[in-house]
Amino acid sequence: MEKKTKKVVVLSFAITDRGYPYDTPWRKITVDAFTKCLGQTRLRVEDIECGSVAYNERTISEAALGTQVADCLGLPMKCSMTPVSHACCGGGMALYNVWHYIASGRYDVGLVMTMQCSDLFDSMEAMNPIGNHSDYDYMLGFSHVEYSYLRDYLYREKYGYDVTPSAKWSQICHKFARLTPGATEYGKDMPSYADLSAVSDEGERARSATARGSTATATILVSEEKARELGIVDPITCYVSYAFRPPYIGNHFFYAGDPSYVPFDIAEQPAIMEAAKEVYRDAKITPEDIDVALVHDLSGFEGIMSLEGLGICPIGQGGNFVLAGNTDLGGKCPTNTHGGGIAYGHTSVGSDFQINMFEGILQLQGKAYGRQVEGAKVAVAQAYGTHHSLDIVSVLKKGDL
Amino acid sequence: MSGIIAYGVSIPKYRVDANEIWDVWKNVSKEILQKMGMKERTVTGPDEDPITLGAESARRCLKQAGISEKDVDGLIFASETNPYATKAAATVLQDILGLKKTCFVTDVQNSHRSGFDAIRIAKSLIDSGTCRKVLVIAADCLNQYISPGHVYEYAAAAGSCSLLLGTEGVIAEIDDMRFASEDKPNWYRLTGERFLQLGAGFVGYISNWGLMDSLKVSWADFAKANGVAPEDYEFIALPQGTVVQSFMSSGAIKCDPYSAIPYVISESTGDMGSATVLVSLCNILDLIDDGDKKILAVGYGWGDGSAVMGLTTTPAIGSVENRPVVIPLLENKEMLPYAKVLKYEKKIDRNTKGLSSYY
Amino acid sequence: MNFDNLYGPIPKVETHNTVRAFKEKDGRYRLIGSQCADCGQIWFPRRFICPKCHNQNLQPYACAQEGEIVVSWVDNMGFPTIGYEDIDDRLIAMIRLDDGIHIIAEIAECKRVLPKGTRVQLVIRQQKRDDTGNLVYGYKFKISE
Repeated sequence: MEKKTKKVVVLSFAITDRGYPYDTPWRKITVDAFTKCLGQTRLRVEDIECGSVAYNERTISEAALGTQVADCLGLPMKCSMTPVSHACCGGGMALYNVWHYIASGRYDVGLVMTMQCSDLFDSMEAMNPIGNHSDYDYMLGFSHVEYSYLRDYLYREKYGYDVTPSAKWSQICHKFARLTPGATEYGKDMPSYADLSAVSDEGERARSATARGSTATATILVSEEKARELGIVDPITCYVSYAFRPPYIGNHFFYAGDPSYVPFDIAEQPAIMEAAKEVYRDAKITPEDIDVALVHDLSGFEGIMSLEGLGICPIGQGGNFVLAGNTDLGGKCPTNTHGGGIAYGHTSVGSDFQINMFEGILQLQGKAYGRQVEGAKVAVAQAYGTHHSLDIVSVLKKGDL
Repeated sequence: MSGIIAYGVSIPKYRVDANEIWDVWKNVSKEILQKMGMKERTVTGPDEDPITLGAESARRCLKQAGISEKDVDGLIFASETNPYATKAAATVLQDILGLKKTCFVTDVQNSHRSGFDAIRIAKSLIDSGTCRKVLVIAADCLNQYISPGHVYEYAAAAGSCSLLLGTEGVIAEIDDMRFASEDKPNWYRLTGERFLQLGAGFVGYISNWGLMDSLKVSWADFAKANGVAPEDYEFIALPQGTVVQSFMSSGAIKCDPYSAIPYVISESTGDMGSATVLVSLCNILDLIDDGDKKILAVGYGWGDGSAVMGLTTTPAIGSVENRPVVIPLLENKEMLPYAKVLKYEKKIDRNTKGLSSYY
Repeated sequence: MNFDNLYGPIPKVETHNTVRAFKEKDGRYRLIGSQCADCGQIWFPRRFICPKCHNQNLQPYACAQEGEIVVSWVDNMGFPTIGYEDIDDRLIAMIRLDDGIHIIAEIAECKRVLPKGTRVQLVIRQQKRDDTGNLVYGYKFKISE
């Protein structure tokens, strides 16, 4: 059945520069991202009607984070600001909230804020126990990292791959990272393929996401009427969907609670499939229409599994898809043209979803310069949180109004 | 008559070579080290303590007995290195094993003799009809409570032994138990202190004055009451914190040391506290297939006194499956370097206020 | 001597506390999950509603205490999880219990990757201390005897 929602247009977006000093408070990076984003528009602060903010630790420790952020940005008193704590794809959930506020027709201008600040936890490693906090009773000291390695090993074992797909993936991402001015790796030397394909701890690190430190993003979404009123040329519309898996990793295996998840274990991503199915329907596209895919790739195999989940290649074929060069420019589906996790690091809620979305917008706007996918009309951005227990998939379309 | 229905043992996998410790400290002549028969000892992993060792031996014991955990109506945990100073560790074990809530559960703490005391209490509970099946878990991690550089570091080790006592399906009947007690503070640790203290040195007769004096009294009482002599016992398990201690004990009760030496295990495990003699007893039970074999088990708790227990096997012992229990555990080992031993036994001071593993 | 408490307690990251750990002890000690009395599906960790048939008639269920390795990996990347720093080279594994339940657990006393299908059995070990300082015991596995 056709659901009646309004179209939602991305008006502007911004991510903070890397390299904040350690004494930077979270309010400072929040303000920086917001002003950078608002400055690209003709809107004023008073025009923001609603918003949502994602910030893992503060959402846990400060009950009224929405108010804290609205106050810090000087937003109007009537502006609602809902806090989200949804692990690394919290940014996607904040977008999901604001998208619905606008799609419902109640509001015309909404703000999506995300932030990750080096307060207590400086790196993804130190954050590990928090990521599993929701089910800590039974997790007994396991982290994203353990999950991610078990998952990659199982995928390799199940579908018969060595490390080369991951090495190839990271090589392409390293190349893209050198073409992306905002990337951590920008301007650095390119690692050799021998380094990237080494079967060792160093090799694993070379193939994994880097760290970035304090990061905030801001995105302003508007309704289709507001976009017309503002006279936006070539508007980018967005669609977003969400699905989850049980937070306890053991329950990822042949999960009996949902018939569509029964055939799968951690070597596949059924939540991405579910979310993708819904968002493709909303956006009226098929996987073949996707010109550029931006996926959450803290390791190469994770990105490969995401491509399979998005339907861009068949399940189990992701490794061969990558080895055939299909994720590079000129391939069937250029992927992570900003360099993904290698370029932007694992900032968790800070920007793990947003960098993917922003790169998608740049590609559709034709502003991706050296890494531009020619004639890109449809981009898909994806991120997950807490060992793939929740997945966000977003579709961005050009010329959709 | 009441007696042992089943037994289980658990010994940590890690070991340290006495020479490895000696290379670092050289605090005793190597000759004495060899004379005392200290070759290697067990080391607990960073995640092990008397409760985890006790849980493992108890599970093995219940498995050997082949009974439901709901049939156990008594649990006595015997240890001198209980992690809890106030509450009972036995209740943790009760939950781990899934025993019923109406089970009688308590701790016994009486130095190395704790295990014998627990057996005495369990036997009384059974003989009086209060309980039908009582699980005695003796477990100690002396190794975690001996300071680095202390001479007893060569011997202090960890291990556990569980015995299920009752009247049905008994494999070894307990004929009698006799005790002798006196306060002889040659081994103690005060509340709040980290490490055990030997009150009377380590080498020679002086360190074992309690052992020699006390054993004579309890043995005399036992021999008189039961009309027995040491020669009546084919198998003897003696106190064996170090191997030389079992020789001294044999002198005290005037038995042939060679009826005890084959069953001494502390050469390869070290001193496992309250579990040591009981593991040696299990080692003896492993070897017996017939009824009417006489076993003598002698326990000594430094600072507390001694215990003597006489057992007679029943024909049921021949049908116990999955034996031997002790020897495979002695053989399953991994040697550790001394630095790692110190880390695993938590003898290296660390920052307790860290935000994460890094800071 | 330890002077940690001279200036009062040290606030820590909220993870475990004694009460929270206490409530879930049966699951940690004996792998007590749930079985739906209506559809028969078994679950671990325990649940209060059956996701398969959506009834709330769930009974405690003791999961199998033996199983086999599905996939394992040695965590030696150099950033141990808070509270688990003492254990070098933790071997982490996904285990399929004999009744079909899947559990992620540490394999005690083993520091090499185990092949698929290796038989393992339940053991109880100390986990990290909770925020109030109490010892948290919980399941690990080790290679079957």
